[in-house]
Amino acid sequence: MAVLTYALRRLAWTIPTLVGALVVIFFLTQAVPGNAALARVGLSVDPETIAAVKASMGLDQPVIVQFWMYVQNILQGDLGHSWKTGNAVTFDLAQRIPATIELALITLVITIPFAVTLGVIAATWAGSWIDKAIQTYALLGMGIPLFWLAMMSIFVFYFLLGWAPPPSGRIGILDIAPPYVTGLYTIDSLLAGNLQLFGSVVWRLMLPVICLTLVSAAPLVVMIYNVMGVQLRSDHIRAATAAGIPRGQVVGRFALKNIMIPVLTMTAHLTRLLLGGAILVETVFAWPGIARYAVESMQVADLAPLQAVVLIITAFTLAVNLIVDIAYFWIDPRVKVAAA
Amino acid sequence: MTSSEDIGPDGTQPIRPVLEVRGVTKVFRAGGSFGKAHLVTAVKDVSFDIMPGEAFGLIGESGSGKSTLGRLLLRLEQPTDGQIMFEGTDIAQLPQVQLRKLRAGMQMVFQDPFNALNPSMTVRRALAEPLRIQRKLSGKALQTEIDRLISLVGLSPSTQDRLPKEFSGGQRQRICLARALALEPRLIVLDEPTSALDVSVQAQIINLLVDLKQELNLTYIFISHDLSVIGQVCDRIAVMKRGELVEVTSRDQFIAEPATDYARSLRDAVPEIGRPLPSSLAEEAA
Repeated sequence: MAVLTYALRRLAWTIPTLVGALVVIFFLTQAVPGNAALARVGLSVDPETIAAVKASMGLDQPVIVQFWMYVQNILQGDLGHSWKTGNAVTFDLAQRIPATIELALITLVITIPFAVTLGVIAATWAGSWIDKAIQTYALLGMGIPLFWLAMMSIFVFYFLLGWAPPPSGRIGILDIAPPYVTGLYTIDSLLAGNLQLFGSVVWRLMLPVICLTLVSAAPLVVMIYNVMGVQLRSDHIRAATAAGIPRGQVVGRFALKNIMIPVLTMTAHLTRLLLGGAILVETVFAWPGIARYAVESMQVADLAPLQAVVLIITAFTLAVNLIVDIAYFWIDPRVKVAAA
Repeated sequence: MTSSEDIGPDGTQPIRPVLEVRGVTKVFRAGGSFGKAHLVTAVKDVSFDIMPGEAFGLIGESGSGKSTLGRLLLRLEQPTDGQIMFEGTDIAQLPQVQLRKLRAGMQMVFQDPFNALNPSMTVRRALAEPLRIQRKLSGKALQTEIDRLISLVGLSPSTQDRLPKEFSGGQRQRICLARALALEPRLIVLDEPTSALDVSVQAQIINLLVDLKQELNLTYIFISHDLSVIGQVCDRIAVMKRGELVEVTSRDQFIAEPATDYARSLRDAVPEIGRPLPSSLAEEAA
């Protein structure tokens, strides 16, 4: 019950945040240099045509009126039109969101256990060669730019070794996309019973996911190493050791639970970072997700898709924060007791 | 030790020390994992014996190595050198598997009762874990034992579903004590068990410790920098300075006339109503 009350109160707070985000998104994209009408029709067109195009796009109206129209449209579920693709932005997004989600979700699911395992191993055997190896990885992972890693991995594993597929999107040129159910090709191909396609999809996910994981996990490993180190040096762990409880249980059952809150917080942070990482990875791997959509729209001053993508990322971030805050209630008995 | 020494004059076994410490040394490596490390000797060639039923006080300034020594005695730190004979077995280099079986006999109570209890474990679970693993208790027997331990340290059995954060410092220290007693130890190392507590609570915990020692026939190693506390509990007092044991005397001897200047300065630093401060401290105060 306490959880529900808290969740509702927390949910109410996201509304003003979203409104603020709308204001920022709209006026920031207004401030982007470039003329949308000019970009659309080209430089060689006479001024009357440009004015007509401007009027048809609503660009001759005062900015505040444009903003009001923008908010009204969003409330009606209309995110505008992309003149570049010629589609409604909602239509384009429906095609592209699953690609990004598939990439980010798989990375997330791999990154968390990967980072927790490395961090806990390094902290448990602090000072050993395995600790040093993990620390070296973490240092490199935080220092190497993602786009460089992505390009190097393509160079080595596709171009030189030929182990990886060409960086040309989610499926091969000869593959046919599975029937749309979830939009996630891994799941849809399995639902269609097409194992060969599933293999192809996983093969193509491999490099982008590995690159994203290696870079995202590095700061997480350092954080887990630190909080786990604090746990292992605390007196309640010494007391458990003094009680003759085996080391594996001391680490796995006594210490691990206490680092779950920072891990959860970091997970939320990571999901936001992944969206940033997705922009780079989608661009390098020609991945047809929303990040690449935003970049391509930006390059031709196609504002509606850009605004929509930023709005979606904002809403997504707010949703993640909401979920994490509520999840604290479930993980941490101290919070539960305080609320009861 | 020859066999003739093991048999007393009347043919009975003489009392063996609970703990025989011989030349225990601990060297820490300080410095980054990749940088050049330098060595710090925290405990240097310490030797002493502790007889059953004794209350052995270990005093010294902060940083003198007394807490490290306390942890070494229970193998919570790995000694760099030396022997630690617990009831006749050298535990200094004993493999973990064999050591775990002996651990029940020697327990520790820590200084900070806030750090010494796992924040996500209820009192019941904190007590149940060692009972389950070491004494193989379960079900009703386990619950009976938990109830007994809780009342032994003067807490109400109704508190056992609570988390550490709901208790005061003194109550937490009682829980820590119950956890230490759960395994029916002969030896308990008390590492400044009262220094994080209010003065009024300190007295309660000291009284409880003295009572439990009588009742359960315990042996204490009492680490403290507070001589007034040590004086209430301990029969013998060892003084540590910079990792070395500089003096071991009886309490009465220590109060009357410590052998070393360092011990004397520690003794005289305890303020007492009606006694003038030593001149060096009085000058600082003026």
